[in-house]
Order: sequence, then structure tokens, then C-alpha cells
Amino acid sequence: MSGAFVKKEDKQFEKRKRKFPRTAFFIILMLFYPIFHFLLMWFGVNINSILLTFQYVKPGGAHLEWVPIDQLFINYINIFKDFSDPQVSSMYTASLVYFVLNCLITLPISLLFAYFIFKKIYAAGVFKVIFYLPSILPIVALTLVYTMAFGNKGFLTPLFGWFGVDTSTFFLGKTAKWMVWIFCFWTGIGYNVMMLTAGMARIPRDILESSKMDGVPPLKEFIYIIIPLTWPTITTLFIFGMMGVFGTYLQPMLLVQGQHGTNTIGLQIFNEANNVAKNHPATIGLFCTMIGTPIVLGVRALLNHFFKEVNF
Amino acid sequence: MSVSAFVKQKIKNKRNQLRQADYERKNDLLYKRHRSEKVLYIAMFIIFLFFAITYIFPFIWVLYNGFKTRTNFANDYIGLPTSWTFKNFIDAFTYSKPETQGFNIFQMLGMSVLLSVCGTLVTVFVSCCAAYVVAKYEFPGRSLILGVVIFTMIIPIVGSLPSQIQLMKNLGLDGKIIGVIFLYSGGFGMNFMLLYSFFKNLSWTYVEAAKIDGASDFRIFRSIILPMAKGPIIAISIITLIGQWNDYMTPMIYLPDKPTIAVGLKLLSDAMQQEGNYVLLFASITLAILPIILMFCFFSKTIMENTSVGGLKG
Repeated sequence: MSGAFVKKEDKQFEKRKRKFPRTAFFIILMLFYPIFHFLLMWFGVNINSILLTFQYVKPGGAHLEWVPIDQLFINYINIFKDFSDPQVSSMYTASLVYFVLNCLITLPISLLFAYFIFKKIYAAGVFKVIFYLPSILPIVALTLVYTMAFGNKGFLTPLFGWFGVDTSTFFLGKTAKWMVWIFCFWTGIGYNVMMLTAGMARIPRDILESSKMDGVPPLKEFIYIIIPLTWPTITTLFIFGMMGVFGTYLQPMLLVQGQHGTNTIGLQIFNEANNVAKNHPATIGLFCTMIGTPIVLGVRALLNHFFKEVNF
Repeated sequence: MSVSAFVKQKIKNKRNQLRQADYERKNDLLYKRHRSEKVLYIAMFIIFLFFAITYIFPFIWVLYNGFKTRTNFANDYIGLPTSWTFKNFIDAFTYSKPETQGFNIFQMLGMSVLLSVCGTLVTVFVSCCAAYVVAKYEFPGRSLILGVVIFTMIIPIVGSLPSQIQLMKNLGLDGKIIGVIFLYSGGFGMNFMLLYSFFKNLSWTYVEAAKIDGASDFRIFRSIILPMAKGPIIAISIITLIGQWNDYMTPMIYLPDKPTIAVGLKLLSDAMQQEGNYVLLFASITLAILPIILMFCFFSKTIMENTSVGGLKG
């Protein structure tokens, strides 16, 4: 009897053993393409990007070649030298403005908006959907409508005209920057509001009810309950906002072609990406990654340090 | 279900939701407000209304101006059309210039459908395969894969575009539709994380039962897992589809001679603005955003709920 049982167990073991290669084959097949794609398009691309920073185009040359060993870091040195160029330093400054805009202006205002939507202001659901609308529309359509609204046949032109303001120069000179920033704020607020209301919706009802019964005013509720309990979402959006310093390029490109001091790091890399001298944009990119990564990770760690116990 | 019945059902559901929200606001303790709070809410409502108008009115303005004749628009660019015409919309479908690479809006829409549908199908399927295996199977390197995916999502990589262009050229994928689909087809990223968390929490009971019955891993994935994951797969597909439909950079760089609607709209606007034909441009903008608006109307809840899930935890 026991012998038969052992035999049966052995058979099952054998069966499992035979099945193992099938499962292994399944795992390999399922992961083959995603890993291949990742290795090629993330790992390969980024390794190549690093290699590009050690290549250059000789004066009068038409293709990239390795830099001489005695000038190994010439591309990096050139990046530092470029800082003396007012246009380049203005590019870095213009990019840093997006940190202020995204993290210190758009995010707090979005937080306030999200709070009122969460507290079911009249037509809250409708407002949430409308605010989110720019996030799903093609950026070209948004920039077109925005520029045309202020154009000489735009519907805002007579409105501003009543106050004696000429909108025809809005996308020129110093005001161009402001138009790009307003556009970024206008289109960026909806996404933040949606993420934050989703974060607020996870706050336990009991906490809000007890605070309400204790007569906590809205401002205190917002500062002492809503913000701490929505902190993980705020942290995520703050990091996204920080990444905007390097990633914003379509808005200034489509609105003002990166002119009038609106050129950003992202736009500079985009504009140079198709040139033969790919070493320059690649070096700018790597330089920014080296500077940006510790800052982003540091800020992330710092933000996570506040309100640690957000588990509900 | 017919289209009209579907629309009616959607409207009915929306109305019920609004009624419920209204009831909650009036009777729920959480949303009862004192007099001073009411003033604050009224002030905020006015601000919200102003913002909502800025989001809605420009597109309404574009829509009704598309129905004007050129003369009508030249005389009055704010008011409603004196006589409504569909001519601009018909012309927009056939308008093509060398600047638009000889493509008309219809062909651009076709390119957008081709790229976004193929790209979405491939990327969602690949993400699904990867997420399922990483979530449910124990194998060497599993934690490494997960760690690398999270790491790449946190690190702000700047300026990999020049290298990517070079690589695509070396692979012979530059200027080819298959190249853009290949670029879209990555399996790791936000879709992977969303599906991974879904599969992680998925009950393994059915799979065990199927294994006892002798079903293979492929059969289990195809016949049990995929149908069970239908909800999140559809939601992720919609979000990915919209993202790829709106993608400006990838088709512009890799398919400059075959513009999608996101890229072509810029080319059309440049050509039409040069001709001063604004009414045609308004009609073109309307046609370009119409598919997305319709999709958003039908799936707004799905889109918004699932977009927010990805960023909840920092």
C-alpha cells in the first residue's frame, strides 16, 4: 500500500519535472519581447547616449568620430564653456522657471481646486471633467486655439481692446514667456486636479466626519487633514513638476518657436537631435541627468520624510 | 444595443449621478455648510465657472466658426454664423498641399488610426504578458526585472532622443510605420505597473483548478487570465490609444512624410493660415479633435479613474 503511494508520489514528481520546462518555456516566451525591447530601446539607447558624449564632428567633417584621448571630456568642457553665452544661460533659466510654475504655482492652486471638488462644490463632477479636457486633446489643437484666441481675429482681442490692451504683441518680446507659462498653467491644472481628487477620495470618511462634528473650519481641515493624507499624490505630482524642467519643449516650440527667451533644455535637445553633431544634445542630456537625478531622488526622499504614516 | 439607446443610457446614468451628488450635497453631514462657508463656496464656484468657460468656449468658438463662409468670418469673427454651411468640413477632408506631404485630413486620420490602434494592441498585449509572468511566476531575476522597471520610472533621463534617432536609423526603422509601432511596443512602464498590481491581487484559485485539469500555461493565460483582466485591459487600452493618437513627437521625427492627425494639424494650420483660410482651419481642428472628444464623452469615467490610479502612490 505504502509502496503504491510512494510510486504515485514519484509519478507526480516526475510529471511536475516534465512540466517544468514547459513553464520555463512559457516564462521565456512571455518575457522575451519586452526584455529585448527594453534592452534595446532603454539600455541600448542610454548606453549609446553616453558613448555619444565621447564623440565629436571634426571641423569640416560630416560624421561623428571618437574624441582624442587627451580631449576625452571636451564635450563636457564645452557645456560648461557654453554657460558664458547669454542665450545658453537664458535657456537654463527658462527651464528652471518650470519648476516654479509647476511645483510652486500650478500644484498649490490645483490642490485648492481639488479640495473644493472633493468637497462637492456645485457641479463638481462637471468641473472635474471640463478641467481634465486639455489633458486628452492634441497639443497642436490646444496651441492653435490658444494663439488664435489672442490673434487679430480672435475672440479675446476685442475683450482686451476694451481695456486698451493690444493682444497682437502678446506672443512677441517679453510677454511671449508669460503666454507660454499661462498656457502651461491652463493646460496643466486639470491633470493635477484629477490626480489629487483621486488621492483625496481615499481619505477615510470617519476622519472627515469627526473633524466636521468637532467644528473644524475648512482652512484647518485643508491644512491639517487633507494635505497630510494626500501627501503621496502631492509628492508624485511635485516630482512630475520637477521633471518638467527637462521635459517641457512642445509648448514653447508650438507657441513661439522657442523664441523670445522661451527656449528650454528639452527644446534645445529636440532641435539638435536630428543634426549630425548628436554629441552636443547628448552631452546636454547626460549633464542634466547627472544633475537632475540626485536632486529629484533627494527631493523625493525629503518629501517622503514628511507625513510618513499615511497608510489607510 | 443601438447607438441611440446607448447614448440615452449614458445620459440617463449621468443624470442619476448628478441627482445623487445633489442629494449628497444637501443631506450629507460632510457637505453641510455654514453661512460663511457658503460665501467661500460661491466665490470658488465663480472662479471654477470662469476656468470652465476658458476651457469650453474656445472650442465652441472654433466649432461654430467652421460653419461660416469666409466672408461671414471676415465680417464677424465672434458671432454665430449668419448662414450655416458644411462646405468647410467637406473641403477639409480633401484639402492637401505639398506642405502637408500631399496628405488630406482623411488620410491623416487613417494614419492616426493605423498607428494608434496597432501601437496600442501591441503594447498592451506585451505589457500584459510581462506583468502576468512577473506577478504570478517565481523565477530567477523576477525581483531584478521589477526593480529595474521601478528604477527607470523614477530616474529622469534627459536627452536620449539623439541616440534613439541614431539607433532607429541604424536598425533601418526610420521613416517606416513598423518603426513607430516598434517604438510604441515597449512592455515595461506605467501600463506594466497597473497590470502588475492587478495580476498580483488576482485570485489564483481558478488557475490552480485549471492546472489540476491539465491546462497548459498558455491556455490558462488565454482562456482564464485575459478574460478576467478584461476591465483593466480595456481601460489601459483607451488611455494608451488617446496618448498615441495625440503623440506629436514620435510620428513627426520618424514619419515626417506620412503625417498623423496630431502632426498634420500643424502642417494644415500653417498652410491654411498662409492662405488666410481660417474657416477651413476651424473645420479641420474640429474634425481632428472630434474622435477624441467622442471617446472622452463615452469613456470619461474609465479614463479619469484609471489615469489617476497610476500616480496615487509616490
